[in-house]
Amino acid sequence: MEPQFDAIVVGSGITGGWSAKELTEKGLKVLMIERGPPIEHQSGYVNEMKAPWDMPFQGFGDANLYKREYFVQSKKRMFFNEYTQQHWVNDAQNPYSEAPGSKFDWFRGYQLGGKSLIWGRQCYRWSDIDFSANKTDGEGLDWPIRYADVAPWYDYVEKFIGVSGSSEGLEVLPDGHFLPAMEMRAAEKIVKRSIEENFPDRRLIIGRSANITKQVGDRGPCQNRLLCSRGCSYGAYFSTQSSTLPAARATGRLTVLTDTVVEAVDYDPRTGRATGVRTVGTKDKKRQAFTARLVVMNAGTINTNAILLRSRSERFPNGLANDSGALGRYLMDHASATSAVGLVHGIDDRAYYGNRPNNVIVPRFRNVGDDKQAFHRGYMFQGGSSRRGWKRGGDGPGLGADLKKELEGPGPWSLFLGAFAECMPNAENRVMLHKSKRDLQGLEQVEISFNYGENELAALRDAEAQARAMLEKAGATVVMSSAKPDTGGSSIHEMGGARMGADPKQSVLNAFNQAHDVPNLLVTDGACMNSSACQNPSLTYMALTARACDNAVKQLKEGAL
Amino acid sequence: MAGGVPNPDAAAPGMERRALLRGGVLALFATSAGALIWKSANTVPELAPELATPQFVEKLCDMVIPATDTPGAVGAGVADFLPNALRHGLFGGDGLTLGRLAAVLDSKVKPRRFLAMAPSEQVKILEALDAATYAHPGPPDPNAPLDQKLWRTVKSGIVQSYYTTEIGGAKELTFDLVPGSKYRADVGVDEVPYLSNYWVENII
Repeated sequence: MEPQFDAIVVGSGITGGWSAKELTEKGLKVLMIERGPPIEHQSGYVNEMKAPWDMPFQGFGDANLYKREYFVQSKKRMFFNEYTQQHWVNDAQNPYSEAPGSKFDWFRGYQLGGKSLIWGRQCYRWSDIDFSANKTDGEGLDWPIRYADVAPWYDYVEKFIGVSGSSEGLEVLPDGHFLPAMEMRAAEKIVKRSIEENFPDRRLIIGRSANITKQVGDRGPCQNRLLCSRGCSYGAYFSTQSSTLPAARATGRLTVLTDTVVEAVDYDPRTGRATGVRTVGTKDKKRQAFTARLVVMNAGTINTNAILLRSRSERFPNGLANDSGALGRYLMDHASATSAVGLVHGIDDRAYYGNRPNNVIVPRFRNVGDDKQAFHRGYMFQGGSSRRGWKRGGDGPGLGADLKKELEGPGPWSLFLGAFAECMPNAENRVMLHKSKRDLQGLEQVEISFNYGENELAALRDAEAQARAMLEKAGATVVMSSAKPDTGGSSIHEMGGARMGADPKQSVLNAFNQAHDVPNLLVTDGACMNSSACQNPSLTYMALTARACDNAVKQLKEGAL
Repeated sequence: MAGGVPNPDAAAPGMERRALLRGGVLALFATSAGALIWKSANTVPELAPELATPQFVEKLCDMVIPATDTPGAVGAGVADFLPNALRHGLFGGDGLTLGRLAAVLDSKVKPRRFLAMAPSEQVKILEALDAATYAHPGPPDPNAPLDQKLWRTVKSGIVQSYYTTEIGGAKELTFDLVPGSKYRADVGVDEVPYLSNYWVENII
């Protein structure tokens, strides 16, 4: 019997959107399955244009509700708030388990568009330093690809999504196709000058962001609102809704199914191929099955692993495409810490107007070139500066008209540097299925085992010391610093579990993101990664997805799948 | 990486009351909040708070952010918003925070009531508490006395509530949801108005 679809894409987030776009544009009839509800571009952004006084809790949200039902998601104060809470999962209704001795905060967005609606939008290419890192220091399995394999796809993706940034000529952070860079604030300019004068191996640059500074297609430029996580009707940042979904829909070959969880991928042992997926409706609990010639896993790192682990059969008793035994293992997330915060002096006559939705960064400088450290790999800083706002009125002395007068203007300048340290691949950090607990759909609950190792802790200790040194050299007064890692998962850069590799005995995927054991099964979300670098990974996911889809369609057309 | 909201008022009221009942002989008297103050035999004051009166909340709002050439916290509706916000756990408080603060302030002027004091005396009392609360810059001290913890919670709540009302956010300050072409990354401080909707600076 002919399959219902040419391809099924599981998930609709950053990579799911890309898979749908690429496959439909190349002529395939595609079913995209999303576990959450639909959210349409523009009309679905219900709180986008609201002021605090339009909200029941003036933008702060119901703290008791958050403690009861959003106890993980509400930790992300930069992104989660009263305006955006509907873009994050209800933790009470979507439980997961942590293995004994583990702590992992799993941040999730279950809706059409997934986390593409709420992501941080930072876009960085990985370099050959990153793609060869596992081989260089022997920690982890060598990548089966190098920068040259991905570079054309970085080009391709950047031109479509739009990335603002500056070309710097850095080996650790290859330049791309950039829209005009955003300007720095006064404090950032001062610290940049000092760092580059006093630390020749370092640079402070503006973030490379998928907030566009010029019109891209029918998407308007960024309005500097910093309301991104509410959804942006201007289409000024890349999301499934603003970018890939309209492109896929325009082909007329896309079917979108929402409110539907994929339980497992079906497999035919006679052909050695995946045949489709089985699903459960989140509202009606209806069970369905869909068939296709190609299945692309884009459910997000942890859910992709869970679905494959649930896809057991006589041929694959430990999870689909898991002959290697590596499935679920080598889970990573950048070890993050607020390395230092400093008060910046002498610029109280400077200000800004508007909310720039972008960071500044200090690209990795450790274990690069002649620098050699006792720990492997490195870290990058991301940070920003601002003047304290009216909130300081509750943090210091003062009452009455004098206080009100004082709060008419901005407070002191500060600049913070937060570190993302590379997370080493560790087989004991893994996604599993709980032996007895079930989720609301009756599916085995995800269990996560995760701890940072000494390498990450050493990198963060160095990051604290270096952040302090750079701020102090710039004349700033350091008011706090830390090397304490945030809880695993806090970077929301979870990746790994179905790593790529040349050796089928040690890896799940080949160099084109095809499962070694099931060639018409692709995994192109974060699950495919076998090292973490220290850059935000989403741009690399997108490039690998476009590359993998291109290869898969060629193979389909050649009859190889 | 974002800092959490301090929770100076974390003690569970039910637990506190049970501890109190173990304390022995108790004395009882009324407060301006309509709350009850219990005093144990060892003279350590303990509170069994009830709801604060609207008059008390309005008085605090007016003392923290008064009407000037723009309406103050009372005119902005903060006295109506704040009790509900605290009941829902905002600003690190709870439904008893205002009542407990009323009882604390009454205890400072006993046998009189805080609300019955002359305005100048009220200012003096609150200024002293304010100065003590913020004597040391930096994050809140988890071991600070109860009156200082309560005051920090309530004052912070009044400030945050005020500048997120339309009066505080858009009349006292400037609110611009869509800076667009007016956006400036680096500009003289006198060249642009100060916005109330700097999200990272104020909301996070």
